[in-house]
Amino acid sequence: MFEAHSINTEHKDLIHDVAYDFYGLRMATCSSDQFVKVWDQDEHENWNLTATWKAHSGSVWKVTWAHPEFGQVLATCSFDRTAAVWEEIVGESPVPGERGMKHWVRRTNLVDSRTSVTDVKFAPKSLGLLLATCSADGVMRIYEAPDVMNLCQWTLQHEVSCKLPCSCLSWNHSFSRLHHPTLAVGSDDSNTGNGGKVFIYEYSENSRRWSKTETLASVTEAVHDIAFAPNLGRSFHLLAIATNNLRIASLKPLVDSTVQSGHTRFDINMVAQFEDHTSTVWRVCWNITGTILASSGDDGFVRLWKSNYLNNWKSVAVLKGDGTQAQTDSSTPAVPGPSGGVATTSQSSTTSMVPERAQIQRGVMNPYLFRLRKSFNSI
Amino acid sequence: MTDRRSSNLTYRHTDILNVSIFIAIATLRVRIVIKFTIRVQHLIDRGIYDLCLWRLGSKSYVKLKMDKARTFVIPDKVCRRAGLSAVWFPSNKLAAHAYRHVTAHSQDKYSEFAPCEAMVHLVRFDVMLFDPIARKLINESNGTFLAGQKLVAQAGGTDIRGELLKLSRQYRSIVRACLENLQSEASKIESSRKEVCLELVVIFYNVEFLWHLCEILYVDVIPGDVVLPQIMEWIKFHFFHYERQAKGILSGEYGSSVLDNGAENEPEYWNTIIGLVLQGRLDGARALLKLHSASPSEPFKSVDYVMRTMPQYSVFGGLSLTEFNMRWKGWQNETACKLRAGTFASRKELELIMKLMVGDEEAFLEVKDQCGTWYQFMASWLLYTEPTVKSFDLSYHAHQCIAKFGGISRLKHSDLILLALMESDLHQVIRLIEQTSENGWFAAHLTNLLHHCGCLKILDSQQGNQSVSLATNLHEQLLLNYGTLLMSHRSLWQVGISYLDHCSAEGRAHIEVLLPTLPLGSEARALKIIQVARDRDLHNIVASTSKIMGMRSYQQRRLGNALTWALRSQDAGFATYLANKFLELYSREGKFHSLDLLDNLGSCMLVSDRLTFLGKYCEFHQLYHAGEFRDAAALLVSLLASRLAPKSFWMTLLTDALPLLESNDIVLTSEDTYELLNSMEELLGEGQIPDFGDTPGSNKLTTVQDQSVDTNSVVEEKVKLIRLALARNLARSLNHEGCLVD
Repeated sequence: MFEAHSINTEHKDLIHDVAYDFYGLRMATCSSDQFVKVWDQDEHENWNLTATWKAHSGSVWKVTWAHPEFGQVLATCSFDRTAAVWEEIVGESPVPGERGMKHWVRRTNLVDSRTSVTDVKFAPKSLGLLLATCSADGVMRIYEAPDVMNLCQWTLQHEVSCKLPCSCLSWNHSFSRLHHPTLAVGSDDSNTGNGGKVFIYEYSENSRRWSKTETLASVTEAVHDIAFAPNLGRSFHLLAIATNNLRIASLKPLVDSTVQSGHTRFDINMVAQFEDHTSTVWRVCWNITGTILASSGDDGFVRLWKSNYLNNWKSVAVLKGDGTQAQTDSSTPAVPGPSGGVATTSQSSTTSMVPERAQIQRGVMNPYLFRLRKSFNSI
Repeated sequence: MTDRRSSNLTYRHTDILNVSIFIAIATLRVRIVIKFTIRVQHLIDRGIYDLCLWRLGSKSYVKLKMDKARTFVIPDKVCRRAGLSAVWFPSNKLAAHAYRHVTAHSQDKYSEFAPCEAMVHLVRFDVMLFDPIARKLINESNGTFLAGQKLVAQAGGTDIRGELLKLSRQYRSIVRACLENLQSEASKIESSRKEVCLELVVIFYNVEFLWHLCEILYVDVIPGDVVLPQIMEWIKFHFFHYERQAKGILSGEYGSSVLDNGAENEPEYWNTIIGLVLQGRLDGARALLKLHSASPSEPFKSVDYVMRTMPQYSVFGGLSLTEFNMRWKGWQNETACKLRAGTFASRKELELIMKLMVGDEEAFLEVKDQCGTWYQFMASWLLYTEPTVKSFDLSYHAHQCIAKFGGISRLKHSDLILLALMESDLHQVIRLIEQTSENGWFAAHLTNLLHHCGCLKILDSQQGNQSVSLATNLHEQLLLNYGTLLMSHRSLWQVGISYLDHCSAEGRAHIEVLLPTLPLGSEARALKIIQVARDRDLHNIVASTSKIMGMRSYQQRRLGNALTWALRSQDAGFATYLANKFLELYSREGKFHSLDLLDNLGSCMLVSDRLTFLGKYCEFHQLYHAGEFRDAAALLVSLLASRLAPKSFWMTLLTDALPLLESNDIVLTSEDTYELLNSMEELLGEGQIPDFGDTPGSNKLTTVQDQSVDTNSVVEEKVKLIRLALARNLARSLNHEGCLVD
């Protein structure tokens, strides 16, 4: 069963990215309207807009939260060729402990890229306050704030050329201390002749350099998003890849190789490949335990994928947008399925939905609820 | 019409419910039938699971897809036109929004949809189990679960089957208690909650029903593997419709005519007797037959005799299996003879009953509908044909009976589970149970119990030898799922952790990921999380949580609180930073905040040098105010001599020394004075302009020029004063020390 709750973000254009903080209690959205907005959930589970500001002079691609250990920190990247780090400042409040006015200040502007910065991600907190960016000119950059209490200072630690325009990156959040810091970078270069489009980079303590350890040769189409699954005790890593189809690759570190070269070699297998989107897949996202993958594609659907204990992946649910409101929904004739008809539910709540929806006010969330029925289990 | 039939089937077990609830369900059902077209095949496929889909039919946008993955429709026009994207957020919620992919190569301009309503739709699973009413169930079953784990851990290799059976019964009684609560709740409250309660009643009724059979077949050890008596108990326990009717007739509820004219005038009289016979409730049947107006006649007496003399197998009956079989065969032959002799021919109802009792197939087919379900039919059939049937033969009989009831395709979800149980296909059982809609409670607990009984080992042999034990995998996976689910609840997370604790392979990793994502909220909650983490030696979570709380306090400008948390997290950098903040505030305001904390740092101050200095400096103030000038002076000198004090603070320390230097008693020796002098020369020699808030990261409010002009003159004045005081004290102390030497 699903329950849903809608928020009008009041962005003037489509949202490019939504990011949640570590606890899922704060939400940041960014859009083509160059604004970033921050929403906080109150104790009644209503979402309130607490900050909105013009962050860049171009479309804001991505927004991401730092670990709360570093305070309330956001990073954004934009078409305007910059990435920025933002920190929330709580203003003076008359009574200590009470929440004062909040505002976000730009702590730094990372201007090293000469082209659009396409992705920005904070590293796992065990590595310190590290920020990785990648840009359309094919450079992956790692920045560090050496003093975590002073976010104005960021040093460009590494600059790695990937040779192909980069579109996305993902840190490997592994808990094992045996694993070196690892990240994957994807390229949306459309020329299949240029070879693999997903690169695995690893940081070596000895040489103090990031170097490419693997290229996923089987992925030659443009890659639009990649995501390492949270690793909860598996011996291998899972990487979801959004390309002309959805793929899930398993990367099993080969133990011997580390000893010889100082770099981890991986035994890479495609454990799943799905054509269900029938066209390009744009975004992929794992849930917190790395058990369910959500993928969005050009078909306009969001599909949820889950593996069973035998590691077989299958689709468990599909979300789709529909402008047709409840009224039209009830008039839709039952579409016959293969085994004899699909249930079409008529909407008795039609009347209650429309007025509720109209109540959505500016800034304040007046959520309307619609409930979608689904057993949690079958997911 | 088909709808109605399927719903009848689905609700068959609700016989157990009191009448009012039954009516409530019936009305619900009728409403649903009127309002919705439901895919019948699907209902039959999914059984109990789909009951839950129904109610929401009135509100939801559920559509079923051909591949059985459901499609959920989000009512947003922009989403339809532009496409949809979604991100996960803790805990297992999805945020969906309209999305159109753009690349670095496309032009940066407003999309074709602008201006538009940019909505974010938060989608979450509505977990039935989190209904407040199920809370008791969750907590009590957790107790039983933990007791079970403890039992196994202590048992070593000894046989604990008996104990496990007790646990199994405990689980069932917990479910029963929950059912009772649900029923009483459903009978008194308003519509929306009522539906939820009724839904849960159906689900948990099924759970208990299935668990009972499972207990008979897998947990209980039955000597000689004669399972039928237990199965009859199971049937009798869950289907007491006829028993209730019989009671009604016997107690004369069905009208006063019974005793005068004989009970046969009751419309349900014969049906009731046949129902009782089918369940093996022969005493009841005999009592009813006695109420018949013709009961003294010969056929009735014969029937009574047959019923009275039917041998009942009991483990403790003193009869061996072969002996019993012989007796039973003798009894049946005798009865068959009577039948053939036409003893009962005058009364066709009695003849039918006798035919049933000798296992006549045609007679059984005649009463098939009265059995209701294939398993009731099977139990009755076996009772009169093969009372000592072994559990491994059940599969064969089950298939025979299912065929009589329309074949496999007509089976509902719960039927499939029963069938799989009888087929000893535990793998299938667990897979089917997983799909039921009580959110994994059933699967996790039952699998755990079966795991301890050693029943799951069969799985491995069935699935072929693989490197990792599938059974252990499956068992752990179910516990993980259930534990993870509970972890997502605001207040049930501690219960969830206790399940994850028992997942040897991935449990710890799950705790490591899930525990830190619990919203911290109040300090008490944070402390609780820290305690849980500490109990499991997850020190990084302790440190991280403390650090986050510290950062939060700092952001709220509660320095003392922040420092407390910094000490808990043992974060030297953060402690140093906060100590600097304290010193900065002191320099600015001339007094310390949170003095009680600073005065009582104790050994905690050793976390960072700066904090040590802060602590010692506070101690200096304490001593000074207590009038122990000598100790205070010694401490001050040692702070400077050991270079523990930050350079920026030296001038403050030297200023603090002024009253000590000028005091009437000599508190600073010549050596001390030299040390102070030395420090001052070093400070001035480096050309460092002592500045009151010169600590890293501080926000200076004055501009550089202002500062240099102002502070320089102040500092020069100060330096003069200190020099003078030092010189005078040096003279005095030398003089004094000289006298002492003499």
